[in-house]
Amino acid sequence: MTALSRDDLVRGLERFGARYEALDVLARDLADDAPCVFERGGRHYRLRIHASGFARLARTAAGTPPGPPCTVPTATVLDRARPPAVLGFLVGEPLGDDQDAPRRVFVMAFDPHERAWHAYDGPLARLVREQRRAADAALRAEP
Amino acid sequence: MADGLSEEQIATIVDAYQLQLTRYAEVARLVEARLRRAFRAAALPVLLSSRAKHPEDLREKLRRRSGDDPRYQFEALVRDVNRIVTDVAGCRVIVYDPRLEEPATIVVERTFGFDPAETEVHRKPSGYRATHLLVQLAEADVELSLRDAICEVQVTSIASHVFNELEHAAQYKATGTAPGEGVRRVLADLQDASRVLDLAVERLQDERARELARSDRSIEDPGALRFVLERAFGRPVTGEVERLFRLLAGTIDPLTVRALELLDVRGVASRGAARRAAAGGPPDDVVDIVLGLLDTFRDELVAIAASWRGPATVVARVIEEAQP
Repeated sequence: MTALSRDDLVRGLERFGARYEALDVLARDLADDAPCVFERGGRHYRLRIHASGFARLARTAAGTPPGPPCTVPTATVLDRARPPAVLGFLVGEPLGDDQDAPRRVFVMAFDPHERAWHAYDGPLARLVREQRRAADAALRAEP
Repeated sequence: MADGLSEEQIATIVDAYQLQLTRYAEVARLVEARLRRAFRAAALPVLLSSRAKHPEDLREKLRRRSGDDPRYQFEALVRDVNRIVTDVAGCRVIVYDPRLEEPATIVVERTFGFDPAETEVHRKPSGYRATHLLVQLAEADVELSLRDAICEVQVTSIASHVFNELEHAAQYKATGTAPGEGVRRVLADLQDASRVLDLAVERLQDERARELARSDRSIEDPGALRFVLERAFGRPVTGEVERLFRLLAGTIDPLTVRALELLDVRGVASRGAARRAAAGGPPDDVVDIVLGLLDTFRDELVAIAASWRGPATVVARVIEEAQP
């Protein structure tokens, strides 16, 4: 099974520079229980895990307390629908002024051999879109 | 009026045709297969069928037409029946919504590089309604034995199809006798019923569109996207809607009617149309939308199009050519 390292996550989030504010992946695809707050290349990142089984990587300010390791839930609502591929959803700004408006996203699949993200427009993303939106709303509401 | 063909001449023509039957069946199958791919790319829901004309149906048509049509000459028919009876290979395209007859016709025209000026729109006093196109397989990638064969493609609505078939059978195929007053009266009822069904399908589609717009449900497939775009534009749309759906679903979430409104899809298409026209490209709504989207989604569209495998599509080419 492919496990996404923190470097893989950062490469995904930074694919289009600062255009996207977060990268959502399935928590079951994460490599380990590494710290939730970490630094790569002088930038600081924070990983949060939602009970649904989604994990969100976003940039954070320097000096954010590291907090406890990110523990991957053992059973989630995604277990019955999880796609047989490692998917990532870049999350960008809303199309309108309203924060609930449809957003710019970019769906990717992770190639474990190249350890690179590629555009993905196949059918698997549809399996988890609804849960990702629910997680998005919850993670956005959190401080 | 020309003299009709004798039964002996008709038998000779039909015998010659039977030797070519497999060829015409293959031509019709090839046309159907190409159209199936094209309609899938356009996300236009159609029913497709194809066939080579049955020899007995050809015999009946030769009897019926040879006295009236000066082109029905024995020598010409024996030499190449397909030049005169252009529907020996036939493909039928049936749309549910009668308003889709025109966009379906455009798909056929573009698939075979057909000159729209040669498209025949039939609205006959008998009630027959369909659009006919005589496509010719002339490309170099077509097997030599099939080249230059003509296949008649008929495009019609499902309601008109029911009437067209039953009216044709009643007029020409039943017993050799002209239909009587009773049959004519029922055919008139059938024609009215088919128009009512056409209108009911249109109303159903319009109501679905209104509900979709109100509900803010996600647009989950290319067919639904076509449906929504046609309501936004107030007319049928042309182009590879299936590819457009893949681009939009990969860059906007949730993809809803509201999302398209926020995107100002009509304004986007308008900007793209100006670019497409400046470059001399043929009218294509999907190309216009994609060209307009490149202002804000260039990197993403390029990345998605680069991931596509298989034969190059119009949309993929447009994105590739638009790269700085």
